Amino acid sequence: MNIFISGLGIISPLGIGVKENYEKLYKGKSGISNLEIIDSIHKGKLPVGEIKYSNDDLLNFLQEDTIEKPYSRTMLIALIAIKEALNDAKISKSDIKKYRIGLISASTVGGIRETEQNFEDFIKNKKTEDFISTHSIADATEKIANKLGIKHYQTTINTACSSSSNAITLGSRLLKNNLLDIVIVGGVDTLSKYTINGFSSLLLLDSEPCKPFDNDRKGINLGEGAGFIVLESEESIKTRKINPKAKLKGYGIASDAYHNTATSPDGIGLQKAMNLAFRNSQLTPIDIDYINTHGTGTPNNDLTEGIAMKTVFNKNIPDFSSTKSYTGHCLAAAGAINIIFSVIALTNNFIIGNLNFKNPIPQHGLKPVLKTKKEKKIRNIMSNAIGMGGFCTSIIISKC
Amino acid sequence: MLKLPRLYIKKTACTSSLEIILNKNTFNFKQFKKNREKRMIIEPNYREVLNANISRRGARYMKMGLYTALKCLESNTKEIDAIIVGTGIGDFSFTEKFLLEMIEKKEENLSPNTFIQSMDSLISANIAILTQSDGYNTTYVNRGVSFENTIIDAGLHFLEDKTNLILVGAADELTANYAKAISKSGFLDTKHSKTIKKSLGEGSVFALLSNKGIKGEVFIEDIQVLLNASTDEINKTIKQLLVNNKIGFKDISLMLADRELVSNLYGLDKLPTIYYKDYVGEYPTSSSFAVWLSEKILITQHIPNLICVNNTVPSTFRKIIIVNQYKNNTSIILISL
Repeated sequence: MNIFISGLGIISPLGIGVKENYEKLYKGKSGISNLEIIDSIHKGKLPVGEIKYSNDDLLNFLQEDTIEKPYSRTMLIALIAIKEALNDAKISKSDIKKYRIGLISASTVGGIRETEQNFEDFIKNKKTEDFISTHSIADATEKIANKLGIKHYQTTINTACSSSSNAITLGSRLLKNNLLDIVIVGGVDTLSKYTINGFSSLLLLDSEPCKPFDNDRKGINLGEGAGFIVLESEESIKTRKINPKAKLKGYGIASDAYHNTATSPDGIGLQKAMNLAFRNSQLTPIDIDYINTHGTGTPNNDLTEGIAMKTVFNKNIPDFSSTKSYTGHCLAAAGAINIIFSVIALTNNFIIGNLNFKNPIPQHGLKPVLKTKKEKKIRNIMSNAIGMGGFCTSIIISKC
Repeated sequence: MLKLPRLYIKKTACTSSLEIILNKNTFNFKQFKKNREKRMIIEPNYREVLNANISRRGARYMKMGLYTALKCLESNTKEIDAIIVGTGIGDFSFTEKFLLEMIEKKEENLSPNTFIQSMDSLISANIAILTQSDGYNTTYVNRGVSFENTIIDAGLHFLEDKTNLILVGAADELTANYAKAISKSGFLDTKHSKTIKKSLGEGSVFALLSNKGIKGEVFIEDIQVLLNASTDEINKTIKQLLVNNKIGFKDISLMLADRELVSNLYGLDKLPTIYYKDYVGEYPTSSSFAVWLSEKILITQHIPNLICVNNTVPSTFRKIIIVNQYKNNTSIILISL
């Protein structure tokens, strides 16, 4: 059974909506800036991918009068992206009643932002907002499913930085096993003092805009965002007379089984995931025209990811780039955002440029596409995500 | 409705507030205090299966899950095709720890170990590392049906390919601050909360599932999950489940259920019932304990002496139905011999 992508929805440091994101990607314009909104000692000192809208701004954008309280920033940006995706796929309220529709989201830290804002008062036994209800990554998904009337299946998963990629593969499996007709899949994470300090303590943050695959790379810039896509079975596409944007051709999932914070030297887990993706999609390395990499900008990731690609592609690596220099690393949302960027590249026939690159990493010598490569015929794109703890997912999308 | 193949339960392990005495042909619980406000696990001897470093410095959530998973895999020599874990609360204790550090140390010189070990995905990742399993690996964080989601995922795998052995499990840890926050927010309060005081609990259960089984082995025959379901919808789902499996209420030997929900359900009130949350407390993945208990009852054909059963207990046990409710989540699981 063929699985199609019929709708896209995104809010990222590049802007709200697919159009704004596409324009910035095409122009090679980064969304990385100084940390402004969050109250932290790192304010003004750290480059991050911040969505420059307050929660009130986001509420205004949504124009909703029925948001179930308490809600988190995570829920707001997820809802914005999900609504755009549903709209894009032309799914109406009556369609939600008519078809077997599911919602699968992913997040690493859920409502941590609201938890951290209230925690000091809480432990001092002062009165606080209800943060415990919104703390779980399940909360936003449950509230959104309830709001939209989605009853057939809903869940939230956490596999660190590959979370939303896994949400996409799970959705695909539910469609293929004929348990659903349509599924909205993706992920969300907001910036927080918690993650900023966490990654800082691991010495994984770059104090400058990140340089994916560059020899002088120092680490990641954290980002926040929500990316959701609508997947449908072939039958559903035909019944609803929808023109899909791309085909979800195949995927592969594997564990690196090596370490909690580092990838194995040869990126074994990612190699296995890529090879499984080829088998699942019945394609080979020569069929891939562009690899949209995980490319976080850490010394370990870009080295091992490059080695893994070189091994699997037998040194014949197609055009590749990392988009982390546009959005920062949006953690759980990264995988879905990458797929959305890949669909944008696929349907508009261009390769996204990898910003801030000067010199290749000597151990593999790989050089990404530096500037927007226009009018490039693309048949198939491979998009990879690697989560801390060894969660590796490789997804291949194709032209319809 | 979901239709999955039979999921045979090959092996289980349980870490609980109950002290479990397991013999070859029977099992029992040691005397426990009823009406405790919090049901905390009997802390296992982590050094049995975990190294000194993890045992000493590891996050409790992770240790609890890892210990139980490794006990489940103790005598297993076959390759595990997938590792799927569910949690409702996640790693709250190390999240608290890092938050406190951030406050006390004003965001300077923070412990990376605390941050890394505060992740929900920690258990499934570390099972893979410790067992060197390179297959499918994921963590569901979906409140009251987190464990059910792992079973459904395993079922999907069995439908899709030659997958043979899948490890599923759940872990939920209770901390003092979590209990306090839940109480203050009224998150778990229902209309009965003034009269029925809920004990909060914690625990972990792991099970090795296979799509191949032999006579005398217990299998999960059906599983359904609902969100924001009305009593009517739950009743309809139970009815449909019975029809789909060509059975009636008379074929159900025993029910394991949530006390509050069951009083509203049609036809089930005559069934011999164990209110399992009376023994392990309320936590998102408590249904994993119900699954563990069901498997043990079916294999040993024995109910532990200290467990109360509502209504007359049958002489043999063939099918057990679990009806679980946690806030807006409902699940119905049919376990059979």
